[in-house]
Amino acid sequence: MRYLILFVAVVFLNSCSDDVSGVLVENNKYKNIVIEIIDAYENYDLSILEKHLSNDVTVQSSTNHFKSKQSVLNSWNDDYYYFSDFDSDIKKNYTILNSDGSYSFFIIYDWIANGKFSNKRISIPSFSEYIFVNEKISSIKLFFNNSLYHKEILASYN
Amino acid sequence: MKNSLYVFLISCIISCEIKDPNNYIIKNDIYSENAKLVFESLVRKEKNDSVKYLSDSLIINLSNYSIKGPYEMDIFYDKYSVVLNKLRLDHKTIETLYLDSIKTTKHEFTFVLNNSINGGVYSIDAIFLYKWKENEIIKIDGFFDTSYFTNELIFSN
Repeated sequence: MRYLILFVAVVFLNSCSDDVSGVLVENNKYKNIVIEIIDAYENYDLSILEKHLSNDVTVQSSTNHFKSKQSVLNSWNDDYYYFSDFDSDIKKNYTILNSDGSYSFFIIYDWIANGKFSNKRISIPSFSEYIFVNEKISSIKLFFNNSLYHKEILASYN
Repeated sequence: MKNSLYVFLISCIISCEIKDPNNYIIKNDIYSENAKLVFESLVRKEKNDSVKYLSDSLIINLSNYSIKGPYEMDIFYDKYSVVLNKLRLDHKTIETLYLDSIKTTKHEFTFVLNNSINGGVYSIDAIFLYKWKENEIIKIDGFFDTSYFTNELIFSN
């Protein structure tokens, strides 16, 4: 039934126009998953992220690209070495049903944390896109300014 | 007949999930094409026809850096022109949607910048959101890593 709905949705979107790439939808399912992932991450728990990642997930992060579940988990785990007391200030979020049947969840938020080495609290405006295929996260795109993060890495050397 | 009824019912189920007919995400529409032209002009500091799409009270947020109005834009150009002149833009996707009833164009692209130290090439993926009020862009939010721009600026001077 679920696949039939997706099929009809794709046909429906494609029939509108070749230039329609998706439609904004009221769907809290993917929002709830991502919020749960972020909440757990802020409590030093990556098990929720791990549960929802597909095995061949890709992550695009401004200047870095990761492939595979383990490398994604390792990169998120690195945050815990440099930072503590995580928080996020969510500005906007929305879900899109893409014309290929996948769902994209977008979230615009400030990533907030304490630098363990500089003892400074930093806030970085961020834009993230989580793409769900067959109920699993197949791709994550993270866009944010790494410069404050890099400063903390430099502070760790001193 | 039975199949048609089935498809109709499913379409109804889907349409319940869709917020509003205005909420389609459109590629290559007039807004996304104009936003692309405006952005190219901004980066190149060109005074061409696309300037008409910029509001006089335009605000540009580049992560933790904010530019308000033409005076601050000039200061930004003075500071970063060395780097801006060397930038190439590889456009990926540009599409328009309504976000909270505001027409918003989402632009995904890559900044390509030659490294003046080792001759290598930086590729910096970026997302820019352009908010429209009628036919003018009133706000641009950019999300990308500025570290390489700062490094390049230091070494270029």
